[in-house]
Amino acid sequence: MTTLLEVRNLSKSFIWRLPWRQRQYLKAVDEVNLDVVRGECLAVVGESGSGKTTLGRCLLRLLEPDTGEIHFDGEDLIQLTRRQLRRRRVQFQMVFQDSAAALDPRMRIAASIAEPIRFHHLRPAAEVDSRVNSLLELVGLAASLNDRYPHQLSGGQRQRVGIARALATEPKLLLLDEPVSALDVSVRAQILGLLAELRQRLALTMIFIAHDLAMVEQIADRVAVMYLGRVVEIGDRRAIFKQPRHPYTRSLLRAIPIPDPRRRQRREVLTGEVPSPLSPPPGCAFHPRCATARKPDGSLKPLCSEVKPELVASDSAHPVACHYPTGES
Amino acid sequence: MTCLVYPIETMSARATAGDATDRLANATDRVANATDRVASLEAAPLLRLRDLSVSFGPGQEVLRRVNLTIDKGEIVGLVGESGSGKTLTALSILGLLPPGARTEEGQIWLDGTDNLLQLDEKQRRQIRARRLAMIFQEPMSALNPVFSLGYQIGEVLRLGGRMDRGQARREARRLLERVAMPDPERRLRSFPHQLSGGQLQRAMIAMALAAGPDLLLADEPTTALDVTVQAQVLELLTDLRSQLGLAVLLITHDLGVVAQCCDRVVVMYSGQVVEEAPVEELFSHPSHPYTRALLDAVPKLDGRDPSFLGIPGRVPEIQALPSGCTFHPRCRVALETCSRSEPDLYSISSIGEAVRGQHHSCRCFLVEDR
Repeated sequence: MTTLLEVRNLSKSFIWRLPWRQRQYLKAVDEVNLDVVRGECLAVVGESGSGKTTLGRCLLRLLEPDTGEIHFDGEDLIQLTRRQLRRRRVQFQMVFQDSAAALDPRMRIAASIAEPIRFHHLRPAAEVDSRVNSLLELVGLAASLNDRYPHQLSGGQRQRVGIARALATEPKLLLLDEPVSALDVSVRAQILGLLAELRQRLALTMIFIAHDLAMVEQIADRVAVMYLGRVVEIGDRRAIFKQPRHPYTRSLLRAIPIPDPRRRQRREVLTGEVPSPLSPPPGCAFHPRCATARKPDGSLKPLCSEVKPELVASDSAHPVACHYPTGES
Repeated sequence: MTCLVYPIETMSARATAGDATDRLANATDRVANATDRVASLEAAPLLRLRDLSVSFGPGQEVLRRVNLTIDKGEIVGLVGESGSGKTLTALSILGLLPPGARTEEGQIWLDGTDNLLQLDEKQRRQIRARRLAMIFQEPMSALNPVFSLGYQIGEVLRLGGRMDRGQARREARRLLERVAMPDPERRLRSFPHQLSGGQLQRAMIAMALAAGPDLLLADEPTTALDVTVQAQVLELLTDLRSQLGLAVLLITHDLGVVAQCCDRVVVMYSGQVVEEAPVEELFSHPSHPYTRALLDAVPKLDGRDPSFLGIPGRVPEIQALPSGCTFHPRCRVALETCSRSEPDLYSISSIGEAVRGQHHSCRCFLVEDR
């Protein structure tokens, strides 16, 4: 069990500038620490605006983080020059949510998959075609599809092409940004099944970004829950689903519609929405929506509204960033 | 239209009834007859689709003899993968089919009195304006980016000179409060880009409610939203149903959503209804192999080991529908007959259940003998 990716104090802000307004800073990722173990699948879950996509892009240096370190296989990616980075990119690839937008509409499928192989000179020119065919087979597509254009494929098939293209460089780490969110439930299960199989066969390490815990229940080994740029809870899949410690994780779990009409009850629905990251609430960012942050008389607990909780583990349970976590012994 | 004719006839019958008692008796009969009719009309469902077929030309039928009823205050779930004809069903009800699509046959009855397909465009527009409303998956693209919410909601109210600007604005504000929009006064002046997805969907619902419709067609209203916001919007829809008696046709591919808020479910596959049942019945006794496969594909969150039971293959193209049962190439339990002949929609509910309106039917040979 060695660590493949080590992220330390990673932060990323965007500048929000309007001509008639003072410039504002949008802190999309705020002091994130993560370790990804070789061969595991880590899910990063959060609602829109939680910074999960920005985090993903920073991890691969598709965006330049402001501060922090990213150690991939023992090497700090932040220190690499562009040229060195390009060479290292062979080892970490990304699959995008919108496969229709991620593929060039004027390139045939075979050409799209061959592009990274040619670009990185991974195979002699004569072997590229056979490599493309074996990649198509690997992701469960008929070799006869190789001269199609993206618009001629269904959403599920296109996402398989996206995966084949990412696997073309034989990466160690695959970063999947909401790879199944845009797909039908039935196709979603197929793609998740394919990813689970590929992970076994190719000994891949995966980071799986999703906005819905239901989506990662079947594939993740560990789950990190994000809220307004911070990781608020991280732990084994079983622990997150069975003994969630952060009130936000519990609300996320409760909000998932259960496919059983007999278990329909007036569920405790989380009120409000994720606040704007331009002006995050003081203290714990979740406190305005949190039931635990309120005393029985309805007033706010001072700790929650004033002090930002750190992500800390206790002896008996997984790390959580909450002043009043559940499951404390 | 017949319901209007009857009372007039009976009135004239009553006027001349003085000189002949048998004619009076006759007239009384007719009155009774008419009252019966009215009673049966009251029992008629809010909306009934009968054998509705829609096509894009010969051999390109996208809806094939779809039957569907929606009662007042009922939430009916319309379920199926993309390409199964769910959205087209809703668009046919509105009479807003895309260019090239044509209604081949069938009837759409509103209140059991008006066949919408026989009305002219002016009358249909009236029905669309007053009685039906639709909300869409992407509220951002359904709203006009250059007008404020107050203006857009008010527009519906000012149409036809029913309200002036001031009234429309006050009513728009009331509607925003009705859909639990935070800070409604400020939101009236907001533009779509200033709102989050959940707020936009609330605004869409407010706009849909403006004309006081009886039926709301909701096309994947929560698919683009976060789970916590999805739960809020679904709760809003069920509240509106219980408080306003609004009927909802909820189009979705998420059976979890269906289980949480629908009364009845209609499952569609390649333009046909393949199963229909009350929601508890559908989840406890799913009968069509397609319904069962869809249910298997939903994550259960029960901590069991992953199964990844997707449905192999994909929804067939309309130009190349398989012979026989259109689901047979993807079906795990297909028989030889399935590829040769097409099953009917068989009723599989007991008489008692059928009387109580608990109708369960399924388009599969495997249930034919039950």
